[in-house]
Amino acid sequence: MKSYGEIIFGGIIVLMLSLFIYFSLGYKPSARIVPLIVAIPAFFLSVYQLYLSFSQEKSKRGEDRKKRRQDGPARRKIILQVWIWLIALVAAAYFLGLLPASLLFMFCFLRFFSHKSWLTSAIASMAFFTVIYLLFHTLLEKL
Amino acid sequence: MIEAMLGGLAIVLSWPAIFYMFLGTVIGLFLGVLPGIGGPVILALLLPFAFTMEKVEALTFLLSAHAVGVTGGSVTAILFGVPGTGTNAATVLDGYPMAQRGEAGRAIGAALTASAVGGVLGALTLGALIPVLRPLVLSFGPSEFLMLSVMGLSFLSSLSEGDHLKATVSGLLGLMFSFVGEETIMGTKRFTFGQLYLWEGVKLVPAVVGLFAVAEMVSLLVEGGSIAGKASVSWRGGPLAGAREAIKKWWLVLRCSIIGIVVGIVPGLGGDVACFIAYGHSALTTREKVKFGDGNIDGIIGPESANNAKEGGALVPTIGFGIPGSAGMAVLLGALMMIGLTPGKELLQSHLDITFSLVWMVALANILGVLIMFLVTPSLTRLTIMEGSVLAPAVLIVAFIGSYLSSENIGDMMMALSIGMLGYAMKRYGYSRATFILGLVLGKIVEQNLFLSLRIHEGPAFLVTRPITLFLLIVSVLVLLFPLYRHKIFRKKTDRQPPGMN
Repeated sequence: MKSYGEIIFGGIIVLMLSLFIYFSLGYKPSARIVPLIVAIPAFFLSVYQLYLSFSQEKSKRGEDRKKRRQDGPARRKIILQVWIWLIALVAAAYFLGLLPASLLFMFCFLRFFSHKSWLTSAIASMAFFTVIYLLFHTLLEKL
Repeated sequence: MIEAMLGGLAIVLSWPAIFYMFLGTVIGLFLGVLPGIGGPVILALLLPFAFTMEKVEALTFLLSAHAVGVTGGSVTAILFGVPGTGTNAATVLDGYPMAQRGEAGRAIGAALTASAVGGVLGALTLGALIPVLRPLVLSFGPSEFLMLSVMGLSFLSSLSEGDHLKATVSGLLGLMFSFVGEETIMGTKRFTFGQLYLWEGVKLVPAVVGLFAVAEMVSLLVEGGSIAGKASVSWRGGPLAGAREAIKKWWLVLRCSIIGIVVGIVPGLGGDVACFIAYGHSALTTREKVKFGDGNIDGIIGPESANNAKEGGALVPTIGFGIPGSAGMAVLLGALMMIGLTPGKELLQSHLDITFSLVWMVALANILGVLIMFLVTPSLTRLTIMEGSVLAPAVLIVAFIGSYLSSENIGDMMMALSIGMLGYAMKRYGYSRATFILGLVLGKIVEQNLFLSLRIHEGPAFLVTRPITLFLLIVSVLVLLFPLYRHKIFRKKTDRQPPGMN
């Protein structure tokens, strides 16, 4: 599954560089020349890298595919869960403020992702919150 | 001159200056550990307190705190993969893998020793250069800045042991990301998609936090377990072993300190450049069997020497002309003027003893900072065996707070998250994050100085007519081609030189 992911990521890089080139063409000459000098070779190199990733995937197709299938879905689920948690942290910081979001995130993460008990989650999150409150709000006056 | 040197030492060792040096060092170490808080932020936070102090006390307090900020940052870079400051980013690349192997103590010992030596060398260089400051700083112009940055980029080839193609693609992608925002020559807004936040471009602190801290902690959560299966918490097997190795590799420390000093002297390049050039140089010259990026101790010693040495170098233009060598120096410059000291001729002639006291402050603060960190290292290394699902959320929260604090904009947290996703994918699929950051740091510097050089010199002839530029161009080409012939050189050198010399 790592090879499929590598191909997808390679494709995303090719797409990003294509977009960089496309948008660069719309700028004034002095603004576009250096980005184009960098982006065009980068685009071709990334396309070649994508081709290499395809070739490697084809050559491995017969090997340990069953093992890769077993690793794949469970791992992908955890990866997705972690990113959703982090998106939720940033969203909570945007709507509630950074300090309340930190406390909420720490408690919920320990309870629902790390599967700690309610008491452990509450104590640990309060202790952590106290430290960051004293440090960033009281002492540094930054939050 | 000798009277001024001794006078400067007497100033630093007098009471209560020595107390403020200790206090500034402890606070600087502590703040340096927090991601996103380093260099200029440390000074800005402490400046209001300095208002209440006497001249020398304020200077001692501020400069001590600033000098050791990167030392504190190296500890979190190694333990958690979270660089305390942008200049610690290179340390993550090999420091964190060493922590994962249970060698955090050894890595920290090497980092601290290299930091101390680099810091002292930087300070001594400052002292030695005081008589020749003016011609030295004036000899650098846009063409020299350009070639120094190009030389930094040429290290892309050495930072890519293994998959050169992927590393090159990463580096070029980093360069493209550096072009986001307002172009410096004509003010054109590039790749901003109508977003005001992106006018300032991709900021370094959120990028470093995302690329390293977020990516590493997500990786830890996905893999499960702790950072290290077991960690060596003993003195002998940990910090002392690392310190011995750094001393054994004194030649590497010296070379990378010189890199840091030179980059520090050049105003506007910044410490991030120094650490990656030093990292690249270490990668080129290492004889360790461990691959760079897998926990090669040279990958810690090199950047950490350069980090601390650059502080001494950055003081050169700051006190010589009032041209700040870095953002931190800009704040320090304000502090100097605030307490009645005008950089330049006045400071160099009428207050030479105070000038030398700055040299002693940087040197002694580095030594003191390292001693303090050595004492707490065994306790800190225990954190690497803490359960990842408990440690990671705490580290992530602090990392996101750090990215927010860089400009107090929620957009920085979103940037850190987005780049964190990119960083995680890069880590997973073997794309070099080091070369990405190198491209991000150097891209705008290269572009700006290229245009300036072409305009000032009316064409590209400056590449061969200016001696320093030509020298740097030759070095860049040699560095680019070095991976092709390094094995031949090292095979010959091993036959000729005694063991232990790097």
